[in-house]
This record gives sequence, structure tokens and C-alpha cells, in this order.
Amino acid sequence: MAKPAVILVGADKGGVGKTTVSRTLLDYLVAHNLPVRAFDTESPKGTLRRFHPDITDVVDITSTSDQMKIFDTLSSTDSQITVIDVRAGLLSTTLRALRDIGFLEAAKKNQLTLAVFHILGPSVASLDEIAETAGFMTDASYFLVKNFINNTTFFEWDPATYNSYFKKIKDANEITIPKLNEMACEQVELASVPFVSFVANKGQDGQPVSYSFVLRGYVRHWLGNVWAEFDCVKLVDIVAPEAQRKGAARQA
Amino acid sequence: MERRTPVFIICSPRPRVGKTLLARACAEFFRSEKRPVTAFDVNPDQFALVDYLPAYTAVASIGDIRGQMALFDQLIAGDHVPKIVDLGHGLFDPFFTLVQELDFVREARRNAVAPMVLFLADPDRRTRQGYDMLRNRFPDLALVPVLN
Repeated sequence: MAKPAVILVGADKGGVGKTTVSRTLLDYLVAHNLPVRAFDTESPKGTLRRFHPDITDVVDITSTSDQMKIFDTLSSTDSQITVIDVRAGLLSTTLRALRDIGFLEAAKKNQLTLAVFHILGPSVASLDEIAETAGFMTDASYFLVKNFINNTTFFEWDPATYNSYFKKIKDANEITIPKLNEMACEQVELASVPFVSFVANKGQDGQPVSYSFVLRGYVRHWLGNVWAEFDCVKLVDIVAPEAQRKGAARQA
Repeated sequence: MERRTPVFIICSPRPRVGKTLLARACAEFFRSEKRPVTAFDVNPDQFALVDYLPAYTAVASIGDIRGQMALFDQLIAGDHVPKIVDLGHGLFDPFFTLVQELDFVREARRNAVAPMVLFLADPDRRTRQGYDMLRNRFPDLALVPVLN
């Protein structure tokens, strides 16, 4: 059995693009033929589930029974990778719960892999969360995600502020999500399909549809750039090293 | 054999080399054969083609996403109606940047659309650079130099 991996996508602020990043991650992992499942913690509604209904369950991450549903099944599920779209305001709480149930300790012992995608918002409060979250990250892959989809600058115009946050955490990797044209973004929202399906001109049941070629082109170009960011941090290598090795062996 | 929808992109990075003349000649050829044709006048400064052939020509813009959709969503349609694009010299670079970002050539092939660039050639340095750019960036795109 391959080592299970959990990817947490979260922020302590709403509207910063957690679900968008989760969707790009699911598309990326599926495109690499990696077995993946997802949990949407926006209970009871769930936004992520709308886009990836076949692989997503909606859970309440603060309830013990739902925590069991996620973490007690890591070794028994066919899906080696679990992506959790953590509801706004619950990232620190979730990390604390993971520490309390011994999950972080298991990551330390290399029994499983933990990666955290911390989506940053354009506020000092959001940046303050970096230090708080980083405290839990000693044995995990920690990614600071700057989401430019809403045109923020992350205080790059003020080097003192910028450096005080982004240069402070030694082992954190930065990932940049570029801006996606608003109309293209809204069209995918309306379609309620994964980005990959939209690009391939497919509807919710995989049937051929007729989305605008231009909008699909914008989404394809944008998704390619996002995936290039994941390639840069060697995400597949982190969450599925044996798959990476097999792929390399096949190529050889 | 599958019949493909031709799309002629008539262009040059230089002004006054005969782009609109060639676009008119192409459009009138199809009309003389009693075949339908659609032309697009993509000139931000002066719309000339639409003045000559108003019945078959639409004014198009690539400056915003709505204009891009109005143009490219029609160019990609495999409806067997030949399309002609009269591309203003000032839009040469932005147009082909968009063609590359949207992956137009591959999508065209998928839709049984056959794009062809009719490139007005002249000895100017900018023209040579434009031609080289097209050859390098679009190796699969039919590129035909036209000597006017």
C-alpha cells in the first residue's frame, strides 16, 4: 500500500480562493492518474462538491465522527491522496485537531505525508496567520499560496511588510495563482464542471457541449500556468513519490 | 476525405502592403463561385474592407474578451463557410499572441478548420522578423508568403 497523503487547503479568511485552488489541485492529480478523493468542509452545502461530485464528500470537520470518516480511512481507501478544502476560519483549528489526534506525529514518523496549502488574502490579518500556521508545519510541506485571481499585490510595494511575512518562514514554498479572466471564471462557475472538463468542452455528464472557444482558451492557458507552479514545487514527488519513480522508470 | 473549413488570415506587420486588396480578392473569388463567405475587418484605425464588402464583412476587435469571442468563436466553427480575416498591421503581434495562448491552431484542426496565413511579403526588416516569428511559433500553421 502506498503511503497516504493528505493535502489541506485552507485559510482563516473567506473569499481568498480556497475552493479554486482545491479544484486546480484535483484536476492536476487526476491528470497525473493519481487516485484522489476530496472532502469539502463547507457543511452542509459544499462548493467543491458541485465541481467534483464523484470524488467529493461534504463533512463537518469539527465533528469527531466526520474526522473519523476522513482520517480513519486513510489507509483503507483506494485513494492514496486526500484533498481537504478547509472551511474559512478553520485552518488553525484543523491543524490543532490533527496534532491532538496524533496525525502530525505520524507525519513526523514518515507514516504519511501532509501538505498544507495556505491561501493568503490581501490583509495583514491574513499574513499574521502565516506565523500561527507555521508553528504546526515542522513535519509537513507548507505552501504559501498567493492568489492573484482577485488582483491583490500582497504588499509587494512595501518591502518591509512583505519581507516580514514571506521571508520569515524558512521552509515554506511560495505558489502563485495567476489571474483568470473574470468572464472565463464566471463561465466555469456557471458550467459547474472541473476546469479540465471545461477546457475539453464537456458538460457535467461528460457530454459534448459548446462553451466559447475563447473562454476555454483562457482557462486552458491559466490552468497550464497553475499546473506549472505545482510542477515547480514537485508536488507529485511530494504526495506520491512511488508514482513519480514509476513514471521515471517508464520513461527510462 | 473530410472537407475542412478554410480560414484565411491576411496579415503583415507593415501598413500599406495590400492586405485589404488581397482580402477583397479572396472574398470576391468565393462570391464569384456562388459560395458563401464571411470576412472580418480587424483594423482598429480604419475599417476599409467593410466599406468595400459591407454585405459579407463584420467589423471585429480583439481589444476585449467580448470582441475576441465574437471573432474567434466564429473562426473556429467548422461550418464549411470560408472565413477571411483582414488583420490591421498594428494588431499583428497581439493577434498572434492570442492565437498562441488560445491554442487556436490545435483547436482548429480538431474542428476540421484549416487556417492559412497569407503573409504580405516585402523587403522590410520588420516584415522578415514577423515572418520568422510566425514560422517559429506556429510550425504547424500553413504560412504562405504573398508577393504583391
